[in-house]
Amino acid sequence: MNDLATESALIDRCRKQDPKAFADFIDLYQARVLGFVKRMVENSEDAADVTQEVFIRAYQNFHRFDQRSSVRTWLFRIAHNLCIDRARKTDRRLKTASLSYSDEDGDEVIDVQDTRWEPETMALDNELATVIERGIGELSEKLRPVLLLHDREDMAYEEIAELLQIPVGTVKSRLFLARAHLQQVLTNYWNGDVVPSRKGVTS
Amino acid sequence: MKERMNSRHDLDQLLNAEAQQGVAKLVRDLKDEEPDMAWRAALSSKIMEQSVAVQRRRKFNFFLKPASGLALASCLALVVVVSTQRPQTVPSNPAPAVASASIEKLIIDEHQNVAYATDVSGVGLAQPEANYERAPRVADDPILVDFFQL
Amino acid sequence: MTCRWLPIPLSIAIVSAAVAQGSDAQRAADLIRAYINNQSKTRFHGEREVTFSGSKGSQSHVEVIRKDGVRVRVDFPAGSPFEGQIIVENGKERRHYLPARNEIRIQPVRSDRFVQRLKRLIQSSDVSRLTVTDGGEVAGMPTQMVEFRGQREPGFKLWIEPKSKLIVKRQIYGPNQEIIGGYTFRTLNFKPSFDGIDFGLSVPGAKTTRPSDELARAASKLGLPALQLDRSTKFTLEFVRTPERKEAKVIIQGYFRADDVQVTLFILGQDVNPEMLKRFAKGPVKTYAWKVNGVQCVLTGEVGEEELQRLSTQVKA
Repeated sequence: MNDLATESALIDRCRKQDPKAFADFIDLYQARVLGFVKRMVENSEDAADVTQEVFIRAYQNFHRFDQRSSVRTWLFRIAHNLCIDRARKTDRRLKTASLSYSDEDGDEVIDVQDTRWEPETMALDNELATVIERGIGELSEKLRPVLLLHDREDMAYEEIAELLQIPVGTVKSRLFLARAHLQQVLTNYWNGDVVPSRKGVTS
Repeated sequence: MKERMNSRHDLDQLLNAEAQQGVAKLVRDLKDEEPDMAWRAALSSKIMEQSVAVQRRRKFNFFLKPASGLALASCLALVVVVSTQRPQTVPSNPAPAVASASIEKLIIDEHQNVAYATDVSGVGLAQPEANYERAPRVADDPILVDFFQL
Repeated sequence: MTCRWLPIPLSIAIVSAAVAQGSDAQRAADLIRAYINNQSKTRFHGEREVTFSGSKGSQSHVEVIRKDGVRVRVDFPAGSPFEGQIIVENGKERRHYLPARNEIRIQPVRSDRFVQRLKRLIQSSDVSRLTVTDGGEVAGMPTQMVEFRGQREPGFKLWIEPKSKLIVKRQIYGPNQEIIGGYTFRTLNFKPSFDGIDFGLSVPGAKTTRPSDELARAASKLGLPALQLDRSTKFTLEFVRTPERKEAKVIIQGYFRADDVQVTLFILGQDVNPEMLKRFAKGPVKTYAWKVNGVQCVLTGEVGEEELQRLSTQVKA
């Protein structure tokens, strides 16, 4: 059976707001959307609520989905917007900078700290996963979605640029900075330093 | 040491550096949790509510659209005509044909059916056995099990 | 002043609630532990209604169970669609007699599969997700109802009779909180007489078959190779099935290991998309797809993808 044809048939049925097809659609995306939202909103109860809202919005608006972007881009755009809304409502303060850069015109100027470490020696055990999750939580609302969409969702730069409505160059610079921050967090962890508290990284 | 990068080419190189790729891999390997059953039940219930609302809206739109360019009296008349002459076109309970699920989904479902089968009955008949042993059409071939229908 | 002292009762309430929840989970775990420990000693004769629920509704049948320690015999009453069939387990193997075919199928034991799952559960951090409440009467006896609402695996409800420590009723839930099925005992006699009861199941003239025979038969019928997981992997083939679907020519093989790890091997007459498989796989279920001489194979299981890939090298004709 053709994969694309199967997915296309499912989306066609979802566009007709067929609840059975939409249940299959939820099955496909629920864990990934919840994972994204959890890392965006921090509070797990909020994350569960927001993720439900993502799917409800998707169901309500599926008939308007014009397939100009992929369904994944469309769904994560809903998720991202709702996460940002939720963050605004909970008055989450923007974080202070610890890495300097300018990304607004896509002509990046980046100061890079040389942090020597050996990623190949790191296995992803529970403790390390916790360190990384904390590091992700410290990222600003601009850096975090780029990292999650690229490194977890495996989205192309162009797809992320379309989703977040920013230039491709900005996507790359934000991705670089997000990873650089995690690299710093991991280096601290690796050196036995205290894992940084939520002082944050921002744009 | 600090480096200053100011071109896209350099940025691509930076992103492909070993350390950056190492971080990317660690981020990629983070585990996602499947939502719990209560969460899914609540979502299903909300989607069903939405589904009912969608059907209501469709009915409403069906009546509203023909009336939009006419006077109220004409509109009412039209609604009456439409609703009496063509009631069968109203999608009161649309049940789109269920497209056959993909073989990939069915494979996963079957794997889980296997796991549940013995959880349900333990030492007794498992569901697939109950299914085929009951069905006369496959009685001559006990390995034919209509498992996708379970 | 009122506000100043408010946190104290609040904290006490929160701590009390947490302690109560903890002791609740502990009590549930104790009930399950008692059931597990009593499994190999229980003796009873009872009748239970088994229900399977699926997308096309539910179906039920009645089973007559005789249990004498690790030995179990299941019969089906007169009028049942399964009348005449007999299942016995002796702790080492399972025998299932099919009168219409005069055939005895020999398979690995299943009765402790759920017990293994319960053992894993009470040894894991998921034990905190257990709750216990009054379960009312089942088969005329008072019960305690233990509920597990799984986050990564399906949940269940167990009605345990405290004196006998027997699960007299259970309901199993699927990943989307739907009821998969369960059973309820209607009658139970804890002082049974098993004089003349055959727990061995030997039927003169009946042919015996094993899952490997069924695999050979399925492969021949569908024109697919009889590929199977090598025994050196410690996985045992428990059953073979083929679906009745025009568009899907497939042989399904269920394998279990002693530690209750389950993998399913699919031999298919069509290609599958590995990425789609991964997307449909939920929670801990992993998949690995590959081809052997042009034949599509898929392994699924709650083990790592690397382990599935390693097992795939042990799938042989």
